[in-house]
Amino acid sequence: MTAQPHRLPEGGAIDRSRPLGFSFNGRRYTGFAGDTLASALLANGVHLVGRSFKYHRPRGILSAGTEEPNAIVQLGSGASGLPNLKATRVELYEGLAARSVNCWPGPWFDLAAVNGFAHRLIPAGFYYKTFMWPHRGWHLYEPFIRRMAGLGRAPDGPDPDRYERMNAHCDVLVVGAGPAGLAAAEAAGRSGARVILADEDCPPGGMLLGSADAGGHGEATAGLEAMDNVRVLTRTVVTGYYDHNFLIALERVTDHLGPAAPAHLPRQRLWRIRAGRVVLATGALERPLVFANNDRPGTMLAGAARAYVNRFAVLPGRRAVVVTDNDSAYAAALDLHRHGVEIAAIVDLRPDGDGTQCAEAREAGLNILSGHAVIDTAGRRRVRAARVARLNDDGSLAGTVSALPCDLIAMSGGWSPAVHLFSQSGGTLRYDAALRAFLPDVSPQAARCAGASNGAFDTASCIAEGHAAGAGEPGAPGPVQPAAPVSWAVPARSRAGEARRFVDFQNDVTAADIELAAREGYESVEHLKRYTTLGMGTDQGKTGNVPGLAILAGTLGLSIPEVGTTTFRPPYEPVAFGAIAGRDVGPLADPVRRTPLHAWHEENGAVFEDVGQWKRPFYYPQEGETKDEAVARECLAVRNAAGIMDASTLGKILVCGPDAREFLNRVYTNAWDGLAPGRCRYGLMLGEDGMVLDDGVTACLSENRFLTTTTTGNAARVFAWLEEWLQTEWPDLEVYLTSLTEQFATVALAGPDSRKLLGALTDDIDPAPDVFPFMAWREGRVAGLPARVFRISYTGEVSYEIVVSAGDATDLWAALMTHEVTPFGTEAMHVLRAEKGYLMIGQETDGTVTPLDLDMGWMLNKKKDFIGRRSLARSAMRDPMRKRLVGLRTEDPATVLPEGAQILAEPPSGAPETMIGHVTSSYRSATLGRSIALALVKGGRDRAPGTVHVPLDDRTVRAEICDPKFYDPEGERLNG
Amino acid sequence: MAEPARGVEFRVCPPRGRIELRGDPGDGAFVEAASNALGLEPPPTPNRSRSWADTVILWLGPDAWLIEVPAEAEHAVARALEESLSDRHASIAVAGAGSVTWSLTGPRARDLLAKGMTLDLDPERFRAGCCARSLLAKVPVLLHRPGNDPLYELTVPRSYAEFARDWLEDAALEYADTR
Amino acid sequence: MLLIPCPWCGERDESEFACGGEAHIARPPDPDALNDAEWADYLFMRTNPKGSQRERWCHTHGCGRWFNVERDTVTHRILSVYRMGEPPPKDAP
Ligand SMILES: [Zn+2]
Repeated sequence: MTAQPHRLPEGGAIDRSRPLGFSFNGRRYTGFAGDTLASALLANGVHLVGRSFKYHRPRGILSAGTEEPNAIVQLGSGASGLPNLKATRVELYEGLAARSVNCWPGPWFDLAAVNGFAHRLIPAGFYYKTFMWPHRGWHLYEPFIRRMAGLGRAPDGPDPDRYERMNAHCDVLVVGAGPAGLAAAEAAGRSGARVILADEDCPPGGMLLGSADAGGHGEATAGLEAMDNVRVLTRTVVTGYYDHNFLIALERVTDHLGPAAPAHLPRQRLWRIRAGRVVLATGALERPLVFANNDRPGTMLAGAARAYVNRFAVLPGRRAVVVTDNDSAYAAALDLHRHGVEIAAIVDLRPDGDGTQCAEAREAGLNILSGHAVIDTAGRRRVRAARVARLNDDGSLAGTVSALPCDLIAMSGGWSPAVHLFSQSGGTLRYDAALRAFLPDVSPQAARCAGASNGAFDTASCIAEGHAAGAGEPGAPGPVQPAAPVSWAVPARSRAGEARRFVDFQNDVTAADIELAAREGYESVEHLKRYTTLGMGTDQGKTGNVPGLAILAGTLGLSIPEVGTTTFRPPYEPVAFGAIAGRDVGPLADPVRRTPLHAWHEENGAVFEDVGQWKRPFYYPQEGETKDEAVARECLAVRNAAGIMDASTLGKILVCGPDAREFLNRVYTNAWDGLAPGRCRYGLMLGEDGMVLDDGVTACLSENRFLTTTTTGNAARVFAWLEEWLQTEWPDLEVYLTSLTEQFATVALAGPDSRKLLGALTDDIDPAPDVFPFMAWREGRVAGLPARVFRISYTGEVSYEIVVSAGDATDLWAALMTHEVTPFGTEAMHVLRAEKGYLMIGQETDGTVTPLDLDMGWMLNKKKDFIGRRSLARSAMRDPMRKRLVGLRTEDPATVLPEGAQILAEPPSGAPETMIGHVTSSYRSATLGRSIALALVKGGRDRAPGTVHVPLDDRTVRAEICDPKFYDPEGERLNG
Repeated sequence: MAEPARGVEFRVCPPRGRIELRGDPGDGAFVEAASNALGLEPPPTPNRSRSWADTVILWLGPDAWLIEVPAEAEHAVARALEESLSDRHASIAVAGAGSVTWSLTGPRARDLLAKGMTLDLDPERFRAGCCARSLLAKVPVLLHRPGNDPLYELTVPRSYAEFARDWLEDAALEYADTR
Repeated sequence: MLLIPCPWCGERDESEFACGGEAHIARPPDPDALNDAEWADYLFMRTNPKGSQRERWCHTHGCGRWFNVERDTVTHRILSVYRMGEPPPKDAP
């Protein structure tokens, strides 16, 4: 067990009674409960945590929070490996094993660091320019770039962790539990509103946790927990703000427990929150200062240094140079000083800092160098000294440079209010020159910022703003502490130094890169982002964005508001794909619908086909049978004896009312006036554009009641379509629709023996063809069960569809199975109907096919209007060269064309070809002993007899155009 | 030590009779005829149920209701409605076999549903006597709060029942006990 | 994800609804009276305004009712909802 040489003997919000062992890059260390990985590493004196993305420069911990660009680590490996986590956000647990990303073999010796020496060769836009080179060049660079680029390792197997999802509603959502957020949640809670308070950290407290006066927030939290109407979500980061106050938050439920996490709890939970109004108390993010080699490990944000010493009782250094352009870093200097860190100097870029804490620092005898800047750093894997020089009034360097030995540089370039979520809400931003920051302006949604995210940087103002926002009262703006107008980038003394003034640490974007991009014409901030990658990556430029665009503005001679910001988009924090998917994985990915006969199909070895969400038996292979053999056997059984098929998935709609017949007349192409009770009729339904939408049989139950069937895949769509016409266009029609798809099961009994079979199963339905003709239906008992029997056919054989209550389906099926029948699946049905040339919706139709294309002009009633009729009257619809339905017979009867194959009029010449059609259905027909196909071909049967050519991968197949009715074209079997 | 209480209990209800009724609530004669047959007036208020003895009527839409009766009474009630409404424009469809109902109860029943539903299930808003059609994990459902025990009745179309059961069991893993 | 106030059910999540596009495009009573261009205009052409638009929505997974929504296509703000057959609120007397 290693000692923690940089841990203070007392203090901090850590539990010293719970030491935790962990490893980093294979070395073992110890920290305490309450540590983050970053604070535990610092306690052990580990500053070098990784290498930068492009130049592979050594990098240390910059921040103490979500804005961290450098300390990016990978936890675990393989399928459960988690790439690209911020060490500043990873809570320590026993056995945690982390590695640096982006360096190999490790951050101490990284083979790719050669980039650092060659980095003049990889300027801004390098990747961009590389991509733009001739295609031939790419393969030369790709292996190099692939090896160098990318953060972390993608998991190599399915994610074994469990992720949940939760929908929540509240009157007030408060984001952030710092002083403003706590005050807002309390005020909203006291008003009786339903409140959710979400904070990315644990415990709540926000900036208070890192300040020396870390009290008070405990009480506020306790007060909130006592209120039933307030839900506090810790470890929960709100990542997205969408329309109508819909927000997404990610709760890290057990991440902090590591392997000790209880198995029944999810790793993370995605919250989908609908809020009446939103208080964004998201705080502010400190900005780095831009000077040469400002990325040396040991250089960190002043507020972070303060948080490490106060919250974690960790000394981030022994001798510090604090460099700042604002007052806030003085508090950090004082806290570090108080805990025994030697302050080599406070370097203040301003000629004169005058806040109360400046005075305190002076009183404490700290060395303050006003009007000075850190212009460079020394050291390799850890900062050894800060080079300091005086600045002229115009920001240029003056006088001599002195080196201040130190092992910590704590810097502050001011604070950027975290306006990300406000911006995502659609809110506009305004630039406040006094604060040197973008502040929230107006949101079209009920969103309001409070506290530091609104530019209020002192605790009292934060609490006051939070209270007002939580109570829904108008708030007075807090006092503004104007910042001095100092330069955004400290000049360097050498060209090499100029090139190493980092703005965006994660993407290695320097001030020089931004200046170069501006010179090359990338003057828009959106172009700058894409050209230099400024603000991309896992931290989304939380620290570097404002300095970056300020430097762009300076280079272009524009003001910062003129340059503007890039758009803030979700997510604020990266979200694992697993968390987005939640439990929508594996068998729960999408609903599955099963018929009442599903269990029987399963027990009898059916292979299932997905039809929409339905599982339908595709075929029932017997032992040793291939698919082709099983389908052939099932087809022949129907043609020669009898088969039964589960047709329960067909849509069934009860159409009821005095205007039902008129309604059918309007939505189907054919006429319904003469359809008497006890009879049924085939109908074709078109869209208003004249294209075939659906087909099915409708039975007249009584004068005012009809039962309409739809195809399986279109059941919901057709029901919605009919309701739409009734409700929106024809509210005067007295018609009610009720979906009965789920109430009834349908078994199709088909084949020459089916009449005899039906007769054996019923006493009260006479199947004799003269009393029960084709396209009639009868009500009675089948196998003792109340049933409606429809004599209709999709196979070309005598066929009955027996409809019973879904609860009776298994009894009916069992009764049928006591006779000589063969269960057949959808594939046999497809083959049987194709032999007859019957169309199948979704196969022969694709939304571009009219009834005329299908040679079904006879279905179009000329004496009435119907949906789609006018469109069919357009001249282009009658063009004989439209693609029309034909049959295809391959020259070689054994060849089965692939469905979707393209068709040519002439053999392929090798030049680009003009296709004249495509194969829509294609099968091996056991009945005919040869292959058959249906196709849509320009000119249709005008081409018959004629040969077409179907080019496949390895050969071209010749086929003859023919009548699509391959079998029993006169329908003698059907009517027999 | 006692067995830990489960956070949520759910089970399939015995089969029940259901009738889908459609008609115009603005037509007094329709309402009167329906009420006569049912012994209860179809609730005119959106997303509310009404019950008396063995009969529950749930509002499905401005001109649609679901009538729940004991399974053995389903056809008799449907016939009574048909007779009573024979001269009105109305639609009566027996639907009992078309769906499956679960009862859910326990302190985490609401959380369980909230995992898959966007409805606001706040007990002050979705009170006893409330019902709503919505989606649960992409499955069309009818949720009813008959009272406090069971807390909820969840009706799903028959074809989705197995999937819905799998989903509920999976979602309930987290609430296996309340310790 | 919009929150849509159904005139019957109140505010419900967008996932329960289907959008039917621009409202108040009546089907011509006599389609044959229109020439091809006029028919195509009815069938295909839509205003697609930036700003306030009246649309039809259906509460498919709720009460099943179609109704009208007046929505700002820029901010997604819902300005009003009204039932089928009712005049848009602004045109109301
Ligand atoms: Zn509704």
